[in-house]
Amino acid sequence: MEDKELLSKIRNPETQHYGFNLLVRTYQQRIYWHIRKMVIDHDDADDLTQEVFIKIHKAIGNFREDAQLFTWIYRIATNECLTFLKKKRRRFFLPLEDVGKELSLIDSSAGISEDEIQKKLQKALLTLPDKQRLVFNMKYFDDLSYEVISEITGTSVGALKASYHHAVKKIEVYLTQ
Amino acid sequence: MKKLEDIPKKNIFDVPEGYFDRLPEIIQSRISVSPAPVMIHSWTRALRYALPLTAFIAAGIFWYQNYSSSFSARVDVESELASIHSDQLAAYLDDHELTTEDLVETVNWSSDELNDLENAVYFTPDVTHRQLEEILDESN
Repeated sequence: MEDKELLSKIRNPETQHYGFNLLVRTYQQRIYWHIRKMVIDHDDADDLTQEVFIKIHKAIGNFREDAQLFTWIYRIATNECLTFLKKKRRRFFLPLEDVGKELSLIDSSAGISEDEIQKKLQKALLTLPDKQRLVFNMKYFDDLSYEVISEITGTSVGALKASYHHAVKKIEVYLTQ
Repeated sequence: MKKLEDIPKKNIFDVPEGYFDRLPEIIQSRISVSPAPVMIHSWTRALRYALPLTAFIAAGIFWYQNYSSSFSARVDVESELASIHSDQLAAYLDDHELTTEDLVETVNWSSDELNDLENAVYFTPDVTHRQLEEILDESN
């Protein structure tokens, strides 16, 4: 179903619940995996995904369609991720680059497949700053264009290209170690 | 150096079985507890700001009209009095047997005015007792 059709169902009081249910089913996997790749832990990703859709439900009345529905939803999910990661580090007085818990999750293979090179790649990603990791995930795993990522993050295309290429270099150095 | 492009893209994370089947219901149950979203139309959004502003402007106009009418009323009385000749005023006062005390009571005296009045009535020049006796002798 197209976004326009989805929105008209949500805005119609008679089909509001049905329309929103459809929206959740359409976008739940993309949002969940976008969040999961950032927070690593399933329970955290589950909480955040639910929060994102609840926020979407509250704010959809104000959605002015000056952006695509997809980029608007992704933006909410991205901000939730970054806020969560910042709070988590602050709560445990961790420096921003401390990713001990996430690394131990990857090592323990809890909810993670055994492929060693893939685990090493994930560990390499955890060495990146959160925003850079976010951009990398959207470009590398989700295959989004720089223009779309720019709409989601509010960062210029040029800055995104530079960020992605730096991320690739850092990861390749890590993988060689 | 190991190249990123040599590594196949894989999702190494698992989810509990049936997670995505249950997730929409979980979200719907949480939403049912919270209030439904309010569909805000552009004209209601404009009203939200326009109404308080209109009320404020109306209150301001009302206050100004009240203030300026009472001010102009005071000015009118004063200018009316100023236009009456002193002889006419004196004649009126004689006809109506108004005493000085009656007139003084109608005036709102400021403390400066009272001080000036007191000085005018009770002011004694800086004279010695001897000089004062001489003045009194001369007047007799």
